[in-house]
Amino acid sequence: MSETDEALAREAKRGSTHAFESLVRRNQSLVRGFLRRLCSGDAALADDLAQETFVMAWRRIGSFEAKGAFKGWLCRIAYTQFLQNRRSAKASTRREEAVMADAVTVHDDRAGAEARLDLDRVMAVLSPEQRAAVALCYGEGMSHAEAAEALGLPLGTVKSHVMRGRAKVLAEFGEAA
Amino acid sequence: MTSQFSEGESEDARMRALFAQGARPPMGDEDFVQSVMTRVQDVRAADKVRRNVAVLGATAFAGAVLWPFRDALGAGITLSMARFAHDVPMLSGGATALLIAAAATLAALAYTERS
Repeated sequence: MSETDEALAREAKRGSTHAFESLVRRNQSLVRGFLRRLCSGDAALADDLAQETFVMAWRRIGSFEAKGAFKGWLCRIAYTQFLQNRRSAKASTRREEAVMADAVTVHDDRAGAEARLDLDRVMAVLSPEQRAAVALCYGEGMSHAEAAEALGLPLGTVKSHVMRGRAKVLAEFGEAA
Repeated sequence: MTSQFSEGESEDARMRALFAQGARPPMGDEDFVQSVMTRVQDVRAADKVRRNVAVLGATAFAGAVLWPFRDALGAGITLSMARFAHDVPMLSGGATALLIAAAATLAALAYTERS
C-alpha cells in the first residue's frame, strides 16, 4: 500500500491507469497548490492547468526516469504548462495584469491594505521564475536543489530567485503592515 | 556574518509562516481525480484508435504492394509444395488460402500487440 510515487510511475509506464490514478490522487494537492501560487490565486485557471498537467504527464510517462523524483518531474510539467498558457492565452495575460494592477493599487492604498493584501496578490508582483522558485521552496517545502530540478534551472539561479523573491514578498508585507 | 545568517533564517521562517496560512486544495478531492482520469481514458481511447488506423493502413498498403505479385507468390508456394503433392488445382487453392491466412494472422497479431 505504501508504494512510492516512483514505483507507481513505473507501473503507469507499463500502461496501468490504476497506478496513474493513485499518482493523481497523491499529487493533485501539490500540483494545484503550486499552480495557484503561479496563477496568483486564480483557482479556476490553476485547476485547468493542473488537469492539463496530469494529462500531459500520462502522455509523457514513458519519458519519466525512475532515478529522479516524480514530484519534481510533475512540477516541471506544471511549470511548463503555466509558461505555455502565459505565452499563448492573451485573456490570461490580461487577467494577470489586472491582478498585478490590483496588487499595485493595494500597495498604494495603505489605508485598506491590511484588509486586502494577501499572499496571492503579493506573489503577482514577482516574476514567473521568482514566483515558481518561491512557491516550490516555501509553499511545497522543496529544497533549492529539488526546485532547481523541477524548474530545469541551475541551482545558483534558483537560489537567487528565491532570495530576491523572498525580499520582495517580505518588503511588500513589511510596507503594508 | 552571523547576524546576516540569522536574519536570513528568520526571513525563511516568516516566509514559511506566510505560506502555511494559505489555503491548499484538499488532499482527497475525488471530483478532480475523476475528471483527470476521464480525460486520461479519452486520450487512451484516441491513441488506440490512431494506432489501429496506422496498423490497418500499413496492412492495406502492404496488401496493395503485394497484390500485383499474388500470382507469382501463389505459383512459388505451389511449386515448392508440388515436390510433396501432385494435385495442382488443390495446391493452388491451398497456396491462396495460406496467403490469406498469413495476412490475417499478421494483422491480428499487430492488432493484439497494439491494443
